Amino acid sequence: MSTAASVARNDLTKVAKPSLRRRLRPLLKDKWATVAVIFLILVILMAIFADMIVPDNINSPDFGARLLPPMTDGHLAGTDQLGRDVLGRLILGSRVSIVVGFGTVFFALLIGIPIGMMAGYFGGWFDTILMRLVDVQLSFPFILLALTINAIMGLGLKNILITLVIVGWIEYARIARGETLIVREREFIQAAHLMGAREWVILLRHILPNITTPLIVIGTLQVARFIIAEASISFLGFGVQPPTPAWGSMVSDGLKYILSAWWLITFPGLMLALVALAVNITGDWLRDTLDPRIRNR
Amino acid sequence: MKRYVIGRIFSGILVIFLALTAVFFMLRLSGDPVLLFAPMDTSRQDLDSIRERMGFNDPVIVQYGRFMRDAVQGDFGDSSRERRPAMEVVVERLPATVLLGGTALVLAIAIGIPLGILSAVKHGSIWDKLARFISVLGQAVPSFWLGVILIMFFSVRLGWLPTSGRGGIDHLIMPAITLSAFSMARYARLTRSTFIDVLGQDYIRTARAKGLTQGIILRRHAFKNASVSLITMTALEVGNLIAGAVVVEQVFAWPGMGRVMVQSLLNRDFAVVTAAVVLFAAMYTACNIIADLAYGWVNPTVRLK
Repeated sequence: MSTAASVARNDLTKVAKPSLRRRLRPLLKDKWATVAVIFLILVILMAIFADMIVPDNINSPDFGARLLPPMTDGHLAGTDQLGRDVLGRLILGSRVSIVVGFGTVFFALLIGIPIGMMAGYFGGWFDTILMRLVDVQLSFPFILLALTINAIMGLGLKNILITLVIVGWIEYARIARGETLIVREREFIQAAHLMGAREWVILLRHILPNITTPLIVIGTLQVARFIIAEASISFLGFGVQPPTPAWGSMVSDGLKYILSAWWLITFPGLMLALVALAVNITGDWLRDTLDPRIRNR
Repeated sequence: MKRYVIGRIFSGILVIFLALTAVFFMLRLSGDPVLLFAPMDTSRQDLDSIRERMGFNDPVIVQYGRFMRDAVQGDFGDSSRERRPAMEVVVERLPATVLLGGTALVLAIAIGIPLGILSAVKHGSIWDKLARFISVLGQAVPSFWLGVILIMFFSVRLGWLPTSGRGGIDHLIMPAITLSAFSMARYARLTRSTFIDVLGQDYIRTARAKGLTQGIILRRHAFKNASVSLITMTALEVGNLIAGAVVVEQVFAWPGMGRVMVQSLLNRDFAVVTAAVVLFAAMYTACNIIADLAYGWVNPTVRLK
C-alpha cells in the first residue's frame, strides 16, 4: 500500500468516527427503534446473567405448587405442571433463543462471507459449485430442511445451532458473492491490482470492508428468523430437550393444560414475539440508516 | 422465451436430482441407516434381516444407484409404520395441504393488498401507522403460537370453533388464518412500498392533472403497474405457505403433508420423510420457476434476458 493511499484511508477513518452521542442521534430520533434496541439489550443481559437472577433449583419440581396462576405466592408468572416458577424458566429460556439467534448468524456469516467472496472474486468452478448449492438450498423450504437435518443429527442445543448454521450460511455466501461481483469491478480494486497488491490483501482490505454493510443488515434481520425457527422446531418436539427451558418447547408443554393454565402458553410465545419484533425493528432501522438501497430485498 | 422455459425446467429437474442426492447421503451418513428405517422396538435379528433385505450391506454407490433408479419411478420404499408405499402415504395428504394453503393465500391477498394500498394512499396517517404495525407484528409472531392462542380463545374460551382435525368450513378457519398471517404481513408491506413508489411517478401526476378520480387512478394506473411485483411475489408466497403448513398442520392436527412429515420424523419413518421432502422440494421448485416466468410475463422489459 502506498503512502498516499494510507493517508487517504486515515482521513476516512477520522471522518467516519464521530462521537458516541452523534452516532446515537439518529437512533434516538426513531422512538420505536430506541425502545427496540433497549429491549434487546435487556434481553441479552438477562440471558447472560440468567444464572444469577434465577435460583439454582429452578428446574426441580415442587408438587405442592402445581399450576399456580400468575401473581400467587410470589410467582409473578405462575407455575407449571411440575410446580416450577414460569418467570424463572422464561428468563433461563432466553438463553436458548439469544444463543441460537445471534450464534447462528455469527457462524453462518463466518462461513458464508469467505466462501461467497472467493466465489465472487475468482469465479470458475468454485463459483459454479456454490451457485448449484444455492439452487438446491432454495428448492427446499427452510423450516423443512432444518427439521430434517435436526431429526437426523440428533437433538439438543448444540445440534440445533449446527443445523441452522448448515441451512443458513448459503444465504450469506450468496449475498457476499453478489456484492463482491459489484465491488470487484470498481476502480480502486483495479488500482490496487496495478499497484501489485496480492489477491488476499485485495480481498481482505478492499473488498471485505465494502460488502459488510448489507451483510450486517440482513444478518440482523435474520436473527429473528432463526429464533422463530428454533422455537418452531423445539415446539414440534425436536431441538432443545427438557429439562432445559426453551420458549418453543414451553409452549408445547403448556398445550396439555390449555383448558386451565393459559399462562403456560401465553408468556413464552409473547416473549418470542416481542424479541422477534424488537430484532426486526432494529434491523429495519439499521437498514434505513446504513444502507437504504437494499430496502426492498 | 421457449428456450428459456425449457432451460429453467431442466435446471429445476437438476436441482431435484441434487436434492435427492443430498437426502440420500444425509440419511446414510447419519449412522446405521437401518435404525432410521426400522421401527424403534425392532429386535437385533430383525434389524439384520431388514439390513439384508433393503440392501444396506452393499457398497454405498450401489445403494445410491438403486435409490435413484427407484426414486425416478416415484418409489421411495415402504413406510415402516403403515407397510405401504411411502409416496402413497404422502400423496393422499396432498389435497388437504393444497386446500389449507390455497385458503391461506386467498386470505393473505384479500386482506394484505387492500391494507397495503390504504397504507400507501393515506401515507403517514394513523391508518398507515396501524397497517404498518399489523404488518410488522404479523412477521414477528411465531405461527405455532398464534395458532395455539386462537385455539385457546375461540375453541376453549368461547367454544365457537373446533380445535383440530379436518371437517367443514369451521375446521378450516383457524388454521387458514394462522397460516396466512405471515404472508398477509408481507403482502401489506410489499403493496405499501410498491404503491408509494408508483404513486410518486410522473404519469400519476399527469393522470391527476387530467382530473381523473382517485379510484380510477388507483385501479387503472397504479394497480396495473404495482401488479408486477405482486404477481411475482405470489408465486414465491405459495412456496412459503406450503412450507409454513409443516408447523401449522401440526398445531391443528390438520391431516396434510406437513403433519405426515413431522409425524414420520417423530416415528423415524424415513421412507415417508424422504418422499415428503422430495414432493415438497418439487412443489417449491415449481413455484420458483413459475415466479420467474410470471416476472417475465408481466414485465416485458425483462423478457429478453
